[in-house]
Formats: sequence, C-alpha cells, structure tokens
Amino acid sequence: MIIALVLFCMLALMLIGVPIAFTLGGMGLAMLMIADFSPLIASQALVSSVDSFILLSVPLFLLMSNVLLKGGVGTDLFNAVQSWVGHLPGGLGIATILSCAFFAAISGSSVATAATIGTVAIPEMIARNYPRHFVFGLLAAGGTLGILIPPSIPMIVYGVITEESIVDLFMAGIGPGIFLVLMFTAYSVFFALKNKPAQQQATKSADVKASFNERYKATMRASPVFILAAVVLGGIYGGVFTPTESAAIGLMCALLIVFIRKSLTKKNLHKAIMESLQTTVVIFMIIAGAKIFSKAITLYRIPQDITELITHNISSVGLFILVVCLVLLILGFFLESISMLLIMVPVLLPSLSALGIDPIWFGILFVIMIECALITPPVGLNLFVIQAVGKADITEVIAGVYPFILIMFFAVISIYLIPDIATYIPFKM
Amino acid sequence: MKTLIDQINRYCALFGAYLFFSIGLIIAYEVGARYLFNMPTIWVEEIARVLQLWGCYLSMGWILKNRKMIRITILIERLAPGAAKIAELFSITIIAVFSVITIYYASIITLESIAIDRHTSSMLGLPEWLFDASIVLGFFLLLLQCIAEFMKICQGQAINFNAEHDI
Repeated sequence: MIIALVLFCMLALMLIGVPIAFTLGGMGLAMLMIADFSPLIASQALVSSVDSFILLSVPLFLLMSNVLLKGGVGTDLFNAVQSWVGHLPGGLGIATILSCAFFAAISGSSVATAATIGTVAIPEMIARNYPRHFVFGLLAAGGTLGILIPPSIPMIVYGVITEESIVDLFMAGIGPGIFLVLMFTAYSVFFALKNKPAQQQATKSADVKASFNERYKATMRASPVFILAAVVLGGIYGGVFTPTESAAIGLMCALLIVFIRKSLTKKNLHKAIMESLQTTVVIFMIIAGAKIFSKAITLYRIPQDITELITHNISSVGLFILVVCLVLLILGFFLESISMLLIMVPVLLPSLSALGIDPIWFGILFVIMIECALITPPVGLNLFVIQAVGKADITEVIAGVYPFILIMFFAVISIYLIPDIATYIPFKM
Repeated sequence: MKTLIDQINRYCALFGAYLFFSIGLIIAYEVGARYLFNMPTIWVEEIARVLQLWGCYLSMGWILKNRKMIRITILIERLAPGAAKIAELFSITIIAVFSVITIYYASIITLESIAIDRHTSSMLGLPEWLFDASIVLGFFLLLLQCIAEFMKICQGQAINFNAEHDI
C-alpha cells in the first residue's frame, strides 16, 4: 500500500513538472516528517551526497569533454579514422562509430560524444548522400558509447550508490563497449551493402583510399587525442591515478592540446566551463534529492519489501533481468539516464545480493539500458542533441534510431548469456 | 528586485563555475606534487570537497532561473497557458517550501557546528561549518530565485521550458 502511494505521488509530481531532484528530495523529506523522523537527516544528506571525492570526477570529466568539444578536436579525430577506413563499404559510417568510440575513451558523457563527432560527421555523411535518418540514428546511437566506454559518468554515479569499485566498473565497460562498436559497425556495412544505390552514391567521392602519407599525417594530427585516452585510462587501470585525479590530469592535457592547437578562444573556454557547471549541478541536485529519498524509503523498509516481493515471485536471475529491463525501457520513455539510475538502483540493490547477482555485471546491463533511454523518444537526450547539431527534424532522428535500439537489446541479451563480455577484463585478466 | 536576484544568482553561478575549474587545477597540482616532488599535500582532497559543495549549491538559483533542472515536460508543454502557469507556480512552491525547511534545519546544524567548534577528522581538520553553511546559503539563494520566478510568472512573463544560458 505504502509502495503504491509513494509511486503514485512521485509520478504525479513528476508529471506536473516538478524537477526530478525536488520530487525525490521533497518526497523524502515529507516521508521523514510524516513518520516523525528528524528532518535533520535530510540536511545531512544534502552535505554528504555532494561531499565526495569520487564524485569530483564528474565535473572534471565534463570539463575535459567540453574543452575538447569547443576546441574542435573532433575534426582531427574523425579525419584520422576516416583516412584508415573511409574507403570501405559503409566507410564513413564505420569512421563515425570508431570516432565516437575513441572520443568516448576520453569523455564520460554521451551528449559530448554525440555533439563532438556529430558536428564533423553529419555534414560529411550528408554531403555524400547517406540517407539522413541513417546518419542521425548512427550519431545518436554512437554518442551513447560515451557512457559505456570508460570513463563514464553514470558508472561513477552507480559506483557511488552501490559502493562498488569504479575502476572495476570502468574495466567492465570496455568489453561491452567494443562489442557494441562491432555491432554498430557491422550494421553500417550491412546498411551500405543493402542500399546499393545510396551506397554507390555515398562512396563515389569517398572510395579513394588514402595514401600512407595522408594516413600518417592525419593520424599524427589526431595523436594527442589517442595519447590523452591512454593517459586517462592507463593511469586509472595502472593504479597511477584515482579516477578523480585522472580526470584532473585529463583536463590539464585537454587544455594543453587546445592551447597548442590554438583552437579554443577565451569565450569558448568560458562556455565550456559554464556548460560543465550546468550539467554538474543538475546531476548533483538529483543525487542529493535521491539520497534523501533513499534514506526515507530505507527507514520505511520499502527496498526490503520490494526485495521480498521479488524473491517470492521471481526465482530466476533471467526473469529478474527481464523485468528490470522492461521497467527501464518504459521509464526511459519519460526519464533521463541519471534520474533512472538514482531512482531504480537504491531500490533494486538489496535484491541483487538476494538473487546472487554481481553488481558490476548488473551495472553494465543497467548502463546499456540507460543508453537505450538516451535514444528512445520522447525524452531521449541524444535525439535532441543530434537534432540541434544536424539541424534536423526530430522525426528523422527518431526514424533512424530504431535499428540501433534493437542492437542494444541484442547486446543486453549477449551479456546476459555470456557474462564474460563484461566481467573478463576486470576479474579474469 | 527580480533583476537584482537574477544578477546575484548569476554571479554566484559564475563563481561556482570557476570553483569547479580551480578544483581541476589543485587536483592536478596534487598529482604533480606527489609524483614529481614526492611531496603529497594534506589539503587538496578536503579543500576540493569543500569547493565542490560551495560550487554546486551556490549555482542552484541560476539553474532554476534558466529552467535547466531535469523534469518531465511532456504534459505541461501541452497544457493550456493558464493551466501551465498553475503547474509552474506549484513546482516553484514545492522548491520554495523544500528550501525553507532545509534552511531551517541546516542552520541548526551549522550553528551547532560553530557552537561546539566541530572539526573534520582529517589531517587538515577543517571546521565543519564550512561544509554545512554551503547548504544554508545555497538554499537561501534558491529561495530568493523561487520568489523572483513566482513574481515573474504572476506578472505574466511567458514560461520558457527550454531557456538558454544567460552567461
């Protein structure tokens, strides 16, 4: 009864347009006061939720991504990758996905990845007659790699909530990241081969294989990005830096890169800083609200009741994952990624241990499902990013993303059946 | 009055933004000090956390002013202007009530921290009120912005669900 009432109030407040952070925080505070718990808990939660050294990596990774985005490094990266694969069937599509994957390795945000690569790839692909819906779908989906391939802001938030190792989560994201890159690439090639007329037009001007000299020059020009990725990920994996320190070093390297390239004006640096602030504060406010809500529902024993409900009715891990995925899919139509994470994970966490599910493996499945949410209408954030970057109609973008959503479902099923795709690198290497 | 509140929150957000940027600088300095000079600091981690708290909470008013908080707008965007106005006023009231309660209880915690001279249990041992006061001031600024936004809507200003930055 209480669960239904809480759910009803939460949904009603959200639909009226109350910000998610204050829906969660307000509900939590009201629940505390109604049950005569001290509201001081809420004020303490507001401090403790943001007073975290691990969470500092969120603004720093955002700053790094935004500096690189405003500094125009996407062009160099895309040109370098294109020089190697641009002549293949569906070559520009492959180049786009690989560029997204490389940028994802230096960015924790899907929006930054979609915007950076989209700015360069969309005009190029459209100029070469690739169907518009395919281009927009490819970029919107490619951008989501930003939160699966480490570093990843949702993984940091997931690690903070579940108190799991963020390094393990990052490492677990590499296998599924590569898997999705391969799937997206295969689809691009398949699409190019299937749409012969479009493909013939598309490759007309791009089928000239770049010479070794051209490839060398393009790769050298993009090399700082590859070095930056190696420093950020190598530093974390090698135990040289914590994720937060790695983000700070990455930010300094990003500033150095754009300074040497002379590609970032003061005005754009200021914009990058302000946009990072906006995203950071929005995420932190939801985290703070969710912390209050999570404290309140724990005192009401709601997660325990849900766990009991789940363990009595759902005996297999497969069914549990299926139900979670369906709920996430539905939530994804209305909620954005961090909100989904912060609402669902504290509630589901006790059930994971009850069913013997590895939280790292589950975290990866969860991140892929919230990747889907980023490209499912009507509130998929990447749809709007690509709409803005590509000056497109939103219906064109939506029409292009469906094959990629199916590929993501396939990835979820594959990782469920073969957990090693996610767990091999962190636990068996 | 409204413009003054807008301006105060705008400058607080600017200050907050550069606090986050400075966190990047001091953490990079810490890594350099540790690996290049073999002299790890005792202040970077804790100062960075304090700056993060202040940077975040000082900027909330500006985020509200620019309608950048994440929320579901599918329904309210389709409402008639009058109904949308009521929904928006209701949202702002919820935020304002939350802010008032938070200011009250966070003030109790802050004053208690000052009264008993509570410090963090770290090598730096910063006063706890440095952390707690960010909530009081941050939510006070948010409350001011709520009042300003409430007045703007009552005076007929159109609601923009996707406002752009003003900085």
